[in-house]
Amino acid sequence: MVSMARAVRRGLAILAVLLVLSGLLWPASTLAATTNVQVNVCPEPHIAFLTKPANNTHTTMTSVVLSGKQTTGVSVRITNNGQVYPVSNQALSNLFTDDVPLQLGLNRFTITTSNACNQAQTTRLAVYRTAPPAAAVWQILCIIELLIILLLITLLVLCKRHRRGGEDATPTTL
Amino acid sequence: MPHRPLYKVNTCMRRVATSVLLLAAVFLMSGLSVSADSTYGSGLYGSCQYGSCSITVTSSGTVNLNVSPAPGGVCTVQSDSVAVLTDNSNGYNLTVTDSSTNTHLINGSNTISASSGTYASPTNLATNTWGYRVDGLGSFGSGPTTAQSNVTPSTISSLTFAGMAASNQTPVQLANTSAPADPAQTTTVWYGVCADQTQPNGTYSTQVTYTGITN
Repeated sequence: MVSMARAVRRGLAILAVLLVLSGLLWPASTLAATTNVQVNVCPEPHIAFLTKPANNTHTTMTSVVLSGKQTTGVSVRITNNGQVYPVSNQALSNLFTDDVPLQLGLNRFTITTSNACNQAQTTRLAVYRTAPPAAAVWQILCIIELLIILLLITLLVLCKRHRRGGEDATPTTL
Repeated sequence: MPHRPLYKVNTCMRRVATSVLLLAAVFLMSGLSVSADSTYGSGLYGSCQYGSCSITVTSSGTVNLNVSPAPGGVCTVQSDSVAVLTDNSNGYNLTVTDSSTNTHLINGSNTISASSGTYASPTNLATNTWGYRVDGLGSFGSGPTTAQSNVTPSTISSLTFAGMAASNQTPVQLANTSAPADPAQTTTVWYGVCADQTQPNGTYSTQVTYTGITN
């Protein structure tokens, strides 16, 4: 019985050692996560206008010229009264030139330059297009003007005749 | 029935008892060596309650820093949030390194160098360099850091940054806890970059790896 008790104690000791070892050998959990650090270096969205009408310009022209030069990496967007106007040539030499048609009345131009960093710069212009006088009005005005001129010429002629008539009627001296 | 000597019975019982105990120990060991998420009974396993030694590490995935250089240089600072979730009673250890041995931000042949500052001795960001900082960690100072976009270098002169450790260097410890993190604990890592007009336009990037390990 003594030997059996000793064997039980030995077994328990082994079990205790194994339990301690199991705690030490317990594998720690590991997990990794990654993040992309991304830096966008962008040019400032500046634009140098070469040609643009002054703000609040009134004109009877049917279009205005908008032109400018922007930095590489900057795109230009033109809208007139909210309607996008396709900008040409900007991809070629960073120089855009466009003859933008005008609508009758108020034309609200928005010229927006933007870069890949979602930065934007906006220039706003208001251009008023007024219709030229209609042809019929011009014709009436011309006719009235001609009639006035004819009237004046007639009066002038009559005055001259009246003066000559007066000279012919001078009494002779005896 | 033949009578067996008592010493033989004792020896036999002793061997049987030892074998049973050894088998029980081996059985228990095999149970402990499996991963925490396998189907085993409840109880304390090392430092982990059953099913508690799993760990979850989550980050933003991408940190975007937009910078539009102006004369004299400009700087941008943005943050990444790293969340760690574990029920491990001994807590966790969170480290960070670059995912590669090259710690530059790369855009083809153009690069933005890592800050010359270190975890032990962080510095102000120099022009055309990038770095990281964690408010209150090591020598970084308490900050508080806030997100900034295209500010002059003097605006962030009170903030110091360190260059990211390469993947073959000792990882930088961002956090080390001694208690379970459930709900998840978040560590905010700030990234900064300064650039002037000599830095070519484009998208520069690198990848950093956050590693969470249960203690």
